[in-house]
Amino acid sequence: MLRLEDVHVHYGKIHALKGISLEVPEGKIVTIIGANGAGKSTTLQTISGLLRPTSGTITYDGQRIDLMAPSDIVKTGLCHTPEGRRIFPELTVDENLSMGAYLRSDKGGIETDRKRAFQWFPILEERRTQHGGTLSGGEQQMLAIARSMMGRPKLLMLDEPSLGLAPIIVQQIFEIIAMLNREEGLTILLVEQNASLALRTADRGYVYETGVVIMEDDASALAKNEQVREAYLGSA
Amino acid sequence: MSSLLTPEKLVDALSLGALYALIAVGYTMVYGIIRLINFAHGEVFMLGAFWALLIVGMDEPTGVNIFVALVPSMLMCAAVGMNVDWTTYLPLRRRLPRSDALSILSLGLLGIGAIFYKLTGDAAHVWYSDGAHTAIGWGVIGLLPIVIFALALGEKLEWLGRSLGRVASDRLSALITAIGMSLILQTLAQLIWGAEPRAFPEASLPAFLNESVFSIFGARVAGKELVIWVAAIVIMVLLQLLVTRTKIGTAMRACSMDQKTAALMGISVDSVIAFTFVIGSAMAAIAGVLYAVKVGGSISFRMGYYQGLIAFAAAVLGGIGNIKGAMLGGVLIGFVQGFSGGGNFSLPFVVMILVLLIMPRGILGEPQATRA
Ligand SMILES: Nc1ncnc2c1ncn2[C@@H]1O[C@H](COP(=O)(O)OP(=O)(O)O)[C@@H](O)[C@H]1O
Ligand SMILES: [Mg+2]
Repeated sequence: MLRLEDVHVHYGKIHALKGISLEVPEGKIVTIIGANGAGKSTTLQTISGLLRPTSGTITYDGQRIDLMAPSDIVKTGLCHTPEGRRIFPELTVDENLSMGAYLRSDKGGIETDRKRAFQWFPILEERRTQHGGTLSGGEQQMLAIARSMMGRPKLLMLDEPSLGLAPIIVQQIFEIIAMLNREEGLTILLVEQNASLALRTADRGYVYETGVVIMEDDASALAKNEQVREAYLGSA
Repeated sequence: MSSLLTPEKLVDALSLGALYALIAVGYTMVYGIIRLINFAHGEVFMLGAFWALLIVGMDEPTGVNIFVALVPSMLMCAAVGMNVDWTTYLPLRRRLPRSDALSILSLGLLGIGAIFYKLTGDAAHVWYSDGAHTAIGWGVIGLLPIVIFALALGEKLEWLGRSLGRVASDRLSALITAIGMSLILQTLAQLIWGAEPRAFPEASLPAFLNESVFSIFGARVAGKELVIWVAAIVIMVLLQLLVTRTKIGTAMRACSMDQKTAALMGISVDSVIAFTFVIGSAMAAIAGVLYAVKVGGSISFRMGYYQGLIAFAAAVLGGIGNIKGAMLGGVLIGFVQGFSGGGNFSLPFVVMILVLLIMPRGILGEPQATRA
């Protein structure tokens, strides 16, 4: 449903993506793993329209999206939860959620989805009137996911949801991610530095190295691959 | 002391404070969202008075009531504000290739504007009696070779480009372009309507405006003062509701915190910015008309320069970017101007500097929100 073909991205003279091709089939979890600076976040930002590819095409649901404005891309059902969570620090939890539903006008549906989000993350309901900036890192990550889900996306792109969080919180968040895929039929493109966790969660995986895809396979196969184990899973 | 603190001065101070607050909020809202001092905001205030004057009759009274003229004036100013953003600041924000050309163009127009000031005969006395204006005009023109130098070398020489080119392409370009826009609008207004100050015709002003409606501490309050107070309070309350309670207001706050993430929510950031200009400009139009009603015979191409800069000082001392700070700063500067007998152009800046010495971010300015 989402397809990148030979996508190149530059930051000025820096050639960050050098011909990325990848595919995210409907209903699947696809992960991109790779070292810091490999181009994972750049890929997501390019898909969501924050960056423009210098060449190559991105199609979603058969529609070219690589020339569309970010707000129009959101309208197609694609949502990007950015690296570092990027909660609006001086908006309350409720207001942050409302911003996630910015393009919707069905008041009733929005309130239903707000309740749904509070079921997934009960702590957020307790924090409703608190400013986003006062939440802990784990709570902010939950809010970031909940906020994205308020737009009822069909495809969710998550950039390092485990970053800087305690293992128990990470586990909790990944259970929700798997549940969203299983029960809500959400398609997910997951970027992670925690490769073992990502490969356990995903159906398929891409391995990046300095702006190119060096490997692509089923997640379970990648998890067994010697090269991947050595480089990313910390075992030989 | 008794002559310093008269009830008449209190009335005057309250009205000036209300008007400065109305203007200052426009500076602060735009700064909050695009981190740019929109120096053309004072000119929108000036145009507000002129649009209304055109409608009520510049030479021959048309018989239209000033409060009827206020509405189209607000709409026109909203359009001007929005277009200042679209034509001038948006290309800079997007770093479109034409933005460098725009900065240089605006500098060039600045130079032409300055020459026009000197050449237009009826403005000559204005020009020569106006040291500050001269200094700013020539000072800005003096920057021209520096900027051209920086832009030309920015691409080719990395080491110079880092120090000069980058500054020139971001902050300095934006600043110069904003000042340029301000002077361009001033010059246009002067070319079109001349340099002599004008006033709304008597026929457009309802009688109660100049009659006293009640008195405080023995000072009689004219209808126009009361109108200014009520208008300012109502508008400020509405603005506060807009910003805190509505979806577009929440989006404005979100954009001022993190534009990229706002875009990821599906918010069209440029539309929200345009909306901010529209609101600020409409408020400036109201202030412009009410100011001209209060201070008869004050409608001139320079009114936005003086009152705009004073309101800018108010926004800064209140904490630039903070709406309540701008309101507070406006009232404070209004009191400074009212109790000092008004007309003193330097006093607001002295007060601003004193406040900033104690509170570097202004009264209600917070340390910059964490923006990664
Ligand atoms: N805003 C930027 N300006 C210049 N270079 C950047 C910027 N963002 C990322 N890069 C560079 O692009 C490359 C890919 O970065 P990124 O996509 O953030 O990697 P990852 O998410 O895999 O850690 C890196 O070499 C990084 O230094
Ligand atoms: Mg990254």
